[in-house]
Amino acid sequence: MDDVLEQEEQTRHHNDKELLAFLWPYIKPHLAVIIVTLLATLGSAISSVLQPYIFKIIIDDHIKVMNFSGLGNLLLIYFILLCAYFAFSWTQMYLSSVFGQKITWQLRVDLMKYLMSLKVDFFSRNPVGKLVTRVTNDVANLNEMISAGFVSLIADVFLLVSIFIMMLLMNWRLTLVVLLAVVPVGIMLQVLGFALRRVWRVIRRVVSRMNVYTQEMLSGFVVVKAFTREPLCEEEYDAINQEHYKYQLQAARLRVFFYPSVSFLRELSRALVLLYGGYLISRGLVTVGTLVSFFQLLPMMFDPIADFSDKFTLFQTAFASLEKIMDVMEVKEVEYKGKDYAGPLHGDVAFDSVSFAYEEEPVLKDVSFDLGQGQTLAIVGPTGAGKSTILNLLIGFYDNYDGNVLVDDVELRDWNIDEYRHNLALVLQEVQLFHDTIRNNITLWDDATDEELKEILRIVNADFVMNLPGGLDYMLAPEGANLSQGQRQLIAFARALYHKPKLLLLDEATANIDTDTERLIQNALPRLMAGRTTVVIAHRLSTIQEADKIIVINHGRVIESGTHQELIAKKGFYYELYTTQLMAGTAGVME
Amino acid sequence: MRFVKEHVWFYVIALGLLIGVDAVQVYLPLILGDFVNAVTALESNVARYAYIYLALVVCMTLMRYAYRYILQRMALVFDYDLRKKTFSELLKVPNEFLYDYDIGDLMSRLTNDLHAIRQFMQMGLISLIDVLVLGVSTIVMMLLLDRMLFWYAVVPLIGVTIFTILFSRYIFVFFKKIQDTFGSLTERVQEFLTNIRVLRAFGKGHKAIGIFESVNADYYKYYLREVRLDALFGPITGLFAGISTLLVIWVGIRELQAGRLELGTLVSYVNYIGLLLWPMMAIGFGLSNLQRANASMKRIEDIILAPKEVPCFEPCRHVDKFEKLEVKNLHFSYGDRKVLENVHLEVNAGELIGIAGPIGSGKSTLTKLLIRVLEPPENTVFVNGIDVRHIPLKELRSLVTYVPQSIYLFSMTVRDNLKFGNPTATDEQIWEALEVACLAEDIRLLPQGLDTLIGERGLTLSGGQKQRMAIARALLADRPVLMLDDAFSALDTVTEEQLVKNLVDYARLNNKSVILVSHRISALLPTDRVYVLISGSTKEFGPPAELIKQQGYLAHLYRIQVLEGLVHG
Repeated sequence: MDDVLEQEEQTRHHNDKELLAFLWPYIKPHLAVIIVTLLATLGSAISSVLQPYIFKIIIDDHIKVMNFSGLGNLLLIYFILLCAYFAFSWTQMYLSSVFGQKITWQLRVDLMKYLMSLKVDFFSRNPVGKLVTRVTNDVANLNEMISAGFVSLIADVFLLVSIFIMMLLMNWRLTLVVLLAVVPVGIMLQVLGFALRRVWRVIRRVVSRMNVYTQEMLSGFVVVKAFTREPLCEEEYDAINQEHYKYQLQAARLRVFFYPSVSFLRELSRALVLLYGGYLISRGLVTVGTLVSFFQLLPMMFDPIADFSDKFTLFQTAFASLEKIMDVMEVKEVEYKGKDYAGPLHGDVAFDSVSFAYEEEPVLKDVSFDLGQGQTLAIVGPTGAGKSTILNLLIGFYDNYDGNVLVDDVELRDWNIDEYRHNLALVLQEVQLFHDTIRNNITLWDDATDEELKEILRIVNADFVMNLPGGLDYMLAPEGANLSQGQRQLIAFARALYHKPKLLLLDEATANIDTDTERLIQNALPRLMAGRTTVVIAHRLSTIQEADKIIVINHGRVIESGTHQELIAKKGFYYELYTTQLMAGTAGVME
Repeated sequence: MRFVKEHVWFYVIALGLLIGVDAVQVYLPLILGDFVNAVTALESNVARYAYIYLALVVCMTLMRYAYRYILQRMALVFDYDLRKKTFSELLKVPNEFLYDYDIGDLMSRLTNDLHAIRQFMQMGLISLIDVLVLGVSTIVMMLLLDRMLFWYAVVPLIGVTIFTILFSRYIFVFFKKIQDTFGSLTERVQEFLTNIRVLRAFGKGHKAIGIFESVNADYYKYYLREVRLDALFGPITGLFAGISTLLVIWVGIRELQAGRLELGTLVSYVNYIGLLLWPMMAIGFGLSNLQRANASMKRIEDIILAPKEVPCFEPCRHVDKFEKLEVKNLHFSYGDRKVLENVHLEVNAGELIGIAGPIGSGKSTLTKLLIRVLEPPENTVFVNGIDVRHIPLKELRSLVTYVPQSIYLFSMTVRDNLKFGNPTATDEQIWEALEVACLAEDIRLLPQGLDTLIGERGLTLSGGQKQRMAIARALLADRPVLMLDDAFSALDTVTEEQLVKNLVDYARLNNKSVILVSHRISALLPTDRVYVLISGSTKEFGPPAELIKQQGYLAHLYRIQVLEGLVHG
């Protein structure tokens, strides 16, 4: 909601030429369709203007003089004009939506592709909600403008011009009178239109406030109840409700004034035509048929005029949206693609004096370790110590680190990152699941046979899936909300296993997992890790003890490293951690 | 409907005006016809027709202003009342209601459905009335004017009505489909951008794009389908109207030839066709609008008529001063899942009680039962010896300040958030509460101090700061009992210790009772008594110092956390 309001209050920083230059490549392929549409627009204007003219001929040349021969032909022409108008206006409306849609389709896809290629960093700094709006609503605004706004505006102009020309051709005197009436009316309509729109803006703001308030109170329902704040909430809501009423009434007043006024002015100009026309007829300066024609043509002018200010707002909104889209496409933060080395990947991983900072604060300082193919490295340490950063670097999300990250003795920056990632699997603490079937969440939209998937589920102890309605085709809720934390972890394991990685990156989740699933997870983990190089941010005692190497990270530095036995013997930080766990005899979780 | 009865006089006046307007409207083409006849007959004073026309138009417009204003205003009053009622009913529902109907759905009802109802009251209703009055009077006029022309004129227009009815039905269905697909598109985009890390790491970015493209294609498919239909509307109604006009002219001319018809009448007739067009269309629109408004009204009634929280079960008793909270023999199940079994608890005024236990032991359920967010069974929870089921909710909850696990802060200033439970709190009191909650320094460092905006549109506080905010907010509410459910989970040990100490001092000083649900030994040690809940039952209870010496859960907790303290430093 707020984004809509933002758009209207934005100041532009791209000039019109830049905006059009940006749009041009999208418009160009459809020029033919656009031209056909404009021709259809012209056709519909002309065919609608000719109908009253036929009427004039019928009256003047036939009825008045009582000559009814050739009338049949005229009526036939009238019918043809009707059909022509039908064909032209439908074509115009339909085609304009078609090319509007095609243009923005491509734009939307390009925008999404661009976003999907940006550095992961970008998404930490830019709220996803805003980006989603760019791809959805902002592109839709453009669509509105191109199909409804632009073509409709041209249609209106064609119609007005045609009417004007036709009137002029029939009787210049009456045309003058019409102009005298129409011009001030047009101005008045614009003014009214703007006033109305201003009130609508305010109304939208109030409605937005009402919605935000209600949504907040619903989200914080328990708090509202706990503090017995219901009466006060009702009062606050009432205040907004009253404001809403006030502005809606204002808008209603304007609307009540606006539309009947348009009708009134229309009838007024007709009355004027009657008056002046009557005078002209008595002088023999105009025929009855012409007069009747004018009577038909005049009302046709009003709707286009009344619409002008509407179009203007449409354009404003659309341009604001276009600017925002351009801003996104001009962000130069595409992710590093790497160089050429494409493996094959064996699985030796090493960090050689790696230092890294996301911004200014160094997060990793001089980290080194060595891991052979098929071995497991457990990373241990307090929160915020830099453990996930190690994983981030290994995925290749950042390339601006000091030192070397070596995979198979090749610096990671020299690898072709896409090829490299084919060998990778990632399991995070917060499992990222999609609103899709379990099958698709595991394969990530690759093909797999049911047998293959069932086998994978069996290995990672995720058989529970087969007991769900639909089994593999069970639909997960957004973010996998219809599974428990533990179940989500198991799906993540299945996903990792399916992709047959040579390198497994794991960030153990331990919070909120019920004991039964915890056991399943602990049992499945070694099967998942078997035979592949694993780097795990470990919290489970079992995971740590079984690891080939352990490094203890604190404040970005490796303070201890070795096997479990070696570290115990050192009687240092690790030793302390370990012994408290043992004495407590709890489920083997290291905080 | 009840609303109309309440304001019946307004509606009667509006109806009268509407009839007046339509009467004039219907008369105007006749004037035009007379004018044409007069001109053809070469009469001299044709100007008078123009004046009459003008006068009538002025009248009509004024009456139109009046009746429309009345109807609009009535519609808005109705809207105001409906919103007010819906919101206050919504506040009375029990917590479960929000699980059955998720917030998104409720918001949709409060926005879209209320909007549809208002639309109907403002416009749909007018359309329907217009149809009846204008349509009927125009038809009558046309019949009176010329019976034969009538059929040629009206029959094609019936085509318009049928088309409009079908059109409204389908266009709504199509429109809904577009909205749904757009919603899916938005959801997909949101999902993919949020989960970009996993997509990137597995190298599945291109697959995601593929899915995105296919949803996008669906969207455009439905969009075009709607446009195809939408684009038909103007042209088809134009065509039918045109055919009607054509037929009238064709037949009319024959009649003119035969001298059975005057030109003026013909001209009038053609104008009547134009006049009749709108009512013929309005039938279709009005009906579907009515349908939709009805459906929306039902969805609103779901809220208004939903079962509400019971303030108290008879006989209701009152409680003034808090003396004692007691839980005896509490059993509780969610459906067939047993959550609590044989729980007992006692809190006297001024006591500090701890509740501990592993995850899933039922602690949170217990806290909810104490303040009737979940209804406890009969004779299990007592305040001052009275079963809480018989104490009015407002009173019961005014005794206990409940700080739940998940903190919800509103998009307001810090000050407003803190004053949420106590709107009359002074700044002085606010700072005092902040000091106790160890948050004063943080707030002082904020750009606008207490006036800083937080929440979605403002500053995002850290997890620890949020928790301390919630505690400060609870303190400000100044109630006899303070119940904190795992309220220190995001705090580091140093802050936690200080905060607990502050709380204990504050409680002792002000004779407040505190119930602390926690699994941190540092929070539980200063209490008078700890109840340990394991698998839904009270397994241990007593002063913490004693429990530590035993071999139970608390003892374990003590050993782990104290040693951790040594190591983490």
